[in-house]
Amino acid sequence: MKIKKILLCVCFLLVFSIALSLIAMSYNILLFNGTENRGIKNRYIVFQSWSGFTQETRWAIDYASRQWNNRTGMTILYHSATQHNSNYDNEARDYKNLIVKVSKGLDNAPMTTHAWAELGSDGYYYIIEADIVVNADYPWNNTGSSTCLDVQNCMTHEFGHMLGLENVDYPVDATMYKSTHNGDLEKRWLKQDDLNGFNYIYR
Amino acid sequence: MKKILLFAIAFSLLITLYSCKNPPNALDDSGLAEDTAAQQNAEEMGQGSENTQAGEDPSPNKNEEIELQTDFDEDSDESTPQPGDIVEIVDSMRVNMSVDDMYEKSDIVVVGEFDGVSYTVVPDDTKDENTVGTLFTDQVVSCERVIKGDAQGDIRVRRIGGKTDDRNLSSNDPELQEGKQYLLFLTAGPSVVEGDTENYKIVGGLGIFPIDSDGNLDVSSQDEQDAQRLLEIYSQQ
Ligand SMILES: [Zn+2]
Repeated sequence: MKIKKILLCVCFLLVFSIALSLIAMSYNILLFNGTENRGIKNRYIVFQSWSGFTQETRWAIDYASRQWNNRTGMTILYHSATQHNSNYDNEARDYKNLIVKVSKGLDNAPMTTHAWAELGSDGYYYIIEADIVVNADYPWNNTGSSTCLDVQNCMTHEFGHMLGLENVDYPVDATMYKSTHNGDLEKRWLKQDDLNGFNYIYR
Repeated sequence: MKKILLFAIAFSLLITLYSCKNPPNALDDSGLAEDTAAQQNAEEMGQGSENTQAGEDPSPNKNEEIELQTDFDEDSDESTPQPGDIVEIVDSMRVNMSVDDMYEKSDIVVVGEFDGVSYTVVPDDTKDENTVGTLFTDQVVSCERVIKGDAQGDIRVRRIGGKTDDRNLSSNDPELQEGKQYLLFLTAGPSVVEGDTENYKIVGGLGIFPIDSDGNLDVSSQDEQDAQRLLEIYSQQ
């Protein structure tokens, strides 16, 4: 009888700990050539935004980068005062980290991150460059309007890729959740899972 | 009995320990003064990456990349990665879409099997400036049933990513598994090299549903309404 009770307790503990481990492990790390990355090589990255963005959009980009800096306690994303004029050739490697806005058609994604990583002598990849492309053909807005995609919302997600994180299927409110919709603001604020992923990379 | 008990306790302890491997507060707490200094430093230096990479070979000239490369994946040289090697990733944001939207946006909806043949396509940058710097992989799918639109025989399902002699690009676009059947929602294009036809891409990066060996469609990623709609589409002749 006693043994049965103990067994029940153990079973409960097992299920509980498996569930706990699943929750703690839900973040994903970007794999380069099938290998995990260990984040930005220099531990900081300076990015320039396109000169054609409105002031509101520049602020939205700024808030998105500050969310990562403030919540992780590590100042890693620097929004350069210099703006760039490039609105094409956006995905070529140019040793600059650019946020560009280009018409890519509704067949393509609303926002895309292109990252380059270098294999270190420790066997892990380190991110050395990243560009973020905003597809001008989607309706963008900075107010969370229900008919538009929110710049800050999506930018916070893309910065996560720039820092080495991959999309997640769960939790659905995480910044790194795999998809978005018009009016979505949930990704503006990092969740514990996003921070866990960041801490795993930059530990 | 005792052995089983001991084993169970040890196992659960192990899992608990494993789950706690990343405490949420294990932050890098570099001081504010240091951060400010780093920021000034960074602003003075301009581009962080530019500086650290200054001594290295620049990326290959664009003009050298424009010819259509049709190396089969099986033939590509899988040399061991060396420190200093550079690889790339493109990660695209998805926008939630109902199955009806997916169907509406599709040029063709087909049931087909990926026969394992795929090859890298290097876009011609005079054709479409939006695909500059991108590599694509075409996966050959044999159409078994066409539910919407017009398609016959083999079609190519194009995804972002590919390998050339000097580049290795991966992406979060869906990758088909060899010998597996799918229900696919596809749009035509993009046309990135001369004579580029009969290539399609998966609608929104989402219009792909695996079919098991018994012919059952996997609708587990969808809510009840969309799962129902998918099954209706799948049963159309
Ligand atoms: Zn993403």
